[in-house]
Amino acid sequence: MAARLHGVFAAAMVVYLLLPLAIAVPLSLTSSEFMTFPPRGLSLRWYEEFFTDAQWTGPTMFSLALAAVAATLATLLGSLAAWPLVRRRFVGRASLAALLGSPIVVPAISVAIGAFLVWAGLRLLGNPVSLVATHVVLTAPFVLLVVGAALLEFDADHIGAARTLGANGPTIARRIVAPQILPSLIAAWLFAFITSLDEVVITSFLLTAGQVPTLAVFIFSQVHWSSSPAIAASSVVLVGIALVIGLGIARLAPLSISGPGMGRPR
Amino acid sequence: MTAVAAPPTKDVGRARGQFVRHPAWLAVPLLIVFVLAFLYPLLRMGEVALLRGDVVDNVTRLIDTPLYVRVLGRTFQIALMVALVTVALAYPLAAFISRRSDRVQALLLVLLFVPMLTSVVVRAYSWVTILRPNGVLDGIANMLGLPPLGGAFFENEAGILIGMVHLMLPFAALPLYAAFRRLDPQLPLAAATLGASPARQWLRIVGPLTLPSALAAFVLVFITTLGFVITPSILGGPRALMLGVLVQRQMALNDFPFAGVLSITLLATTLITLILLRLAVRRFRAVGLL
Repeated sequence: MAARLHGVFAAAMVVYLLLPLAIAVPLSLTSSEFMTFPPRGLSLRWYEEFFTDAQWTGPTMFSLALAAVAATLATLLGSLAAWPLVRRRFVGRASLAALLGSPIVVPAISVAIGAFLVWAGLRLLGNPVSLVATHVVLTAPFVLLVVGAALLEFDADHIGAARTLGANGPTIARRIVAPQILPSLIAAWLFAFITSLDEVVITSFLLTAGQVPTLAVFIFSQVHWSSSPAIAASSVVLVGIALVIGLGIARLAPLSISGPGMGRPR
Repeated sequence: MTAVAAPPTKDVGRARGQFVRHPAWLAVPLLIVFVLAFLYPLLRMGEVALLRGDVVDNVTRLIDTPLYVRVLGRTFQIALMVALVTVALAYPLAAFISRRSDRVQALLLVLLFVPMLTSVVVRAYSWVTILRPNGVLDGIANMLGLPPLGGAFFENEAGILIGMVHLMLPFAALPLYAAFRRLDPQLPLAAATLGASPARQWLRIVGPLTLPSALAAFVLVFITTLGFVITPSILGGPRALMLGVLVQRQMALNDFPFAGVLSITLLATTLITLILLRLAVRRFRAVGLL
């Protein structure tokens, strides 16, 4: 009896978790101008709008490019930093680890105030530099967690052997370490990519008025006054991206899924 | 705490001139980005809040305006509720998953993981389509011949609770699942062999080994909810204003000193909560838990 109740409870939780992800599918397939339930008429017109209308394609391309650049930089710089943090002891190691991990606990809105003032002072609001730097900061903690876990298990004898054979640091990093932790590097990149794609709080203050916004900021700006089913179509696309990336990470670095602090919503 | 330092390794105490040969310099590029785009902005926020505006004025304004005091109280209350409900749901869910076969576990983990990676804005907006008057919930009620709810869970505290718990559930359940997996299944079994009832097994073995993780999840959910902006702003509306949304509004009004004072309040609460967690965990360790 207790076991059955436990099963019913778990099933209810799965429904609760998946309902808001699934609900966008019927809402997006309507042919009417508004989201209604049950939907009236069946049509792909809102997907056509999402994939062809510049109002949607502009923010989408901008977001994908920003997320790709930020994730690549975060993975590169994060992996370099993970090495000494995981494998060495040095003065200030604990403070450095605390600083590099703190975006996980510091509220984004607190960073947003200062970030706006700093980048406005440098006249870099709306500039890719400020956006990429901010997104690297927000995504690097996840890279450190995923890549750090992989480096912790890395066999140090391989490095000694390579050094004996005359390899220098960059060669060892490229030819010995990177290939062995490649699945974790890709998982870290995917994690950083999806985190960047979703950032709104700081990003919305770094964009200038006339600029093409990121997709997440654009959807956020639509929420209060638009009821267009195109928003549901964009939601379905974003859920699809999360699904592909989720399956990818689950395959590449399964343990990183249940790490504490991973994937903190912001 | 003893005074014995960590065992020295060959890297400690090297001459400063050899820094470039030291692997720690590999962290410098990331550190530069952090100083520029994270640490400096936080300091700048503190400077604007404490030195630019009239701090005394702004703090008085915060504690003398009933609206702001209500926002603070509501934020605390909602964060507490979200943390309680999330952990109360995540704990049995994690226990359930950890007892399935490997294949079912992998499937259930992906079912937790995909919502976690799905855009926060998208999830909040989906809840709007479900909970608002004439939304999906009312559509279903209509089909079943029931009276419409008319947005009973929309633009109020209940809406925020539903949306926030949805965000936090996987975030809390996944580390709890890891805690249940670390638990040696032989332990409760041995206790059962010795005649312990299921309740006693939990009280003496499973509970003590998983509660520290539950406490950590509680605190992480609590501090995340305290400073959250997107979901409260979309699902709470103007009637259920939370602190993070208030900060965002003050920024939109260009009142940066006051936004800074509010934000420091938020940061201080977060920090104090984290310190309390550390003390609690130390206590746990001292009595042999964790």
